[in-house]
Amino acid sequence: MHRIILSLLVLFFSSASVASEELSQEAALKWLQRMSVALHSLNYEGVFVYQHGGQLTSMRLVHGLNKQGEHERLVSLSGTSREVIRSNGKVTCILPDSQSVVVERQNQSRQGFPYLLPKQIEQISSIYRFELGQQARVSGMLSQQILILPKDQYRYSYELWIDIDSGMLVKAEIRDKQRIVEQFMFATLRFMPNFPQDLLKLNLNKGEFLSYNHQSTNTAVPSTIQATKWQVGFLPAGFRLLQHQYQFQSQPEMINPGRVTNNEPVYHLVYSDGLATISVFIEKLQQHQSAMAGASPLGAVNTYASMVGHTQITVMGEVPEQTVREIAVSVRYQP
Amino acid sequence: MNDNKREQLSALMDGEAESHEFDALVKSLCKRESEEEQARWERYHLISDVLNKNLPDNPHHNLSARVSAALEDEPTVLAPRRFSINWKRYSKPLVGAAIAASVATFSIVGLRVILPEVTTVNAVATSDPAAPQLQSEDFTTVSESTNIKPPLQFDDKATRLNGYVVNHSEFAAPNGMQALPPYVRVVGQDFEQSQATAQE
Repeated sequence: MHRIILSLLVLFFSSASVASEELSQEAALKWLQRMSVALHSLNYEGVFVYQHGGQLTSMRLVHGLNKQGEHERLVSLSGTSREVIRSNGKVTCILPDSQSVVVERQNQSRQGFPYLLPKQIEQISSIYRFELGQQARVSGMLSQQILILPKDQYRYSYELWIDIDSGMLVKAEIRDKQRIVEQFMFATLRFMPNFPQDLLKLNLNKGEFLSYNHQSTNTAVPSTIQATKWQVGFLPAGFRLLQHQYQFQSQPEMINPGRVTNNEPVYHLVYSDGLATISVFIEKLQQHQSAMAGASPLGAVNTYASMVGHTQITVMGEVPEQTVREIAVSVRYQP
Repeated sequence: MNDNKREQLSALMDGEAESHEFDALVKSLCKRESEEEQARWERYHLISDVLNKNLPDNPHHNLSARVSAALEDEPTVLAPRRFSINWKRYSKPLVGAAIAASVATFSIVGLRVILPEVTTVNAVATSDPAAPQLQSEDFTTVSESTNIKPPLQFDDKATRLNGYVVNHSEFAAPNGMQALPPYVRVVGQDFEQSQATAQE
C-alpha cells in the first residue's frame, strides 16, 4: 500500500515538473514572439555597447517604419565609422577601412517582416529548450530574462532580456557552452511616436570609396560553378536549406587603380535551424585572388574556409567553430 | 581628430591630464565647433557609465567584470597585462588599441599570407608602439627569400569576406530570430576578418 502511495506521489510530482517546464517554455516563446514584433514595428533610437572577443564597441541604432517599409541604420561610435543602412529592400554598407560601399538589393521574396511564425517555433522547439528566467532592471528598464538552450553541441545558447513594457530586446548574451562569445546591451533607448526623419540621410565622409553593387539571382546563369554538382555532406540536425542563389559582385563604381574584383558569381546556400543561420559560399577563384583556409571568428559568427581544387568553399554562421568546420570539410564536388 | 588629441581627451577623462594642458583642453572641448571632440567625450562617459552603473544588480551579470575577464583570456591588442575593472585604467588601452589597430590592419592582411604565426607579429605590432613595425618591404623580402608568390591584392580576401558577411547577414536577419540587431558584426568588426590564413 505504501509503495502505491509512494509511486503515485512520484508520478504526481514528476508530471507537475514536466507541466511547469512546458508552461515556462510556452511563456518564453510568447515573449520571443512579442519581442520579434516590437523589434520590427516600433520607431526607436538607442546607443548600445557590443562586446565580442576582447573588443568593446558602441553603436547607434535607429529604426523606423513608414509607408515605404522598414528602415534601419546602424553606426559604429567607436573605432572606424562603419555604417549600415537598410532601407526598403536595399542595404548600404559604408566601410571606410576597406574603402568600400557595398550596396545590396534584396530580392522581393526576401523583403518583409521576419516575425516568428508558429511553424518556425515548432521547428526550433525540437532543437532548443526555452526557459523563462528572472526579472531584473536592465538599462533602466524592468526586463524579463529568457534563456534559449541548445540540445546539442553544434549551436550557441542565448540569454535575452526583454523590456516588459515595450517587448523590446534590451540585452543579449550569446554563449558557446559557458564562454560568452558576444553580448550587447542598450545604454540608452528611446521610443518615438513618429518616423525618425534623419534616419535616411546618408553622410558619406570625404575620401575615396569603392562602391560595390551586389545582386543576386535564382535563375540559371552561365557560370563556372555547377551548382547541382556540389554537395554539402554534413549538417547538424534541424538545419534546412532555405535559399540558394548566385551572388554577383559587380565592378566598383569608383575605381581605385590596381584593385580587381571578381566578376564570377558566387553560389550561396542558406541554411537555418530557425534561430541560427549558416551560409555556404562556393566560388571559383580567379588568378589574382588568394585562397583562404582555416577559421576566422567575428563575434559569434564563425567562418571556415577550405579549397576544393580551384574552388573556394567558405562556410559562415552564428554557430560554434566546430560546426562550420565540419560542414566546410564535408562539401564535395560530385561530377 | 588626431591620435594625440584622443590620448589627451582620454587622459582628461581619467583625471590624468597634465596641469598645463588642462585649461587648453577644456577650452577646446567647450568650443562650439569641436563637435567631434564633444561626441568622443560623451562616448567615453557613456562607456564609463555603462561599465559602472547601468547594470543589473547581480554582480555575476556585471559587464565590466566580464569584459575584463574576456580581455584577460584573450591575448588581443586590447589586453593589458594586469587588468582591473577600474575605468581609469581601462580607457587607456582602448584608445591605444584604436591607434595601433589603424597602423596594423594592413600589415596583418598582407602578412597572413606568408607567415604562419601572425598572431605573434600582430601582438608585437600593436601592443608596443616602440616595437619595430612590420612594413610592406619586410613582407617582400620574406616572400622572395622563401620563394612564395606574393599576393597581388593585399586586401582581396578582406574584401571578399566583407562581401560574404554582408550577404550572410542579410539572410540571417529575416530567417532566424534575432538575438542581435542585424549587421552588428559588419559594423562592429575589426581586423579579425583577415585571420583566415591563405594557402599557396
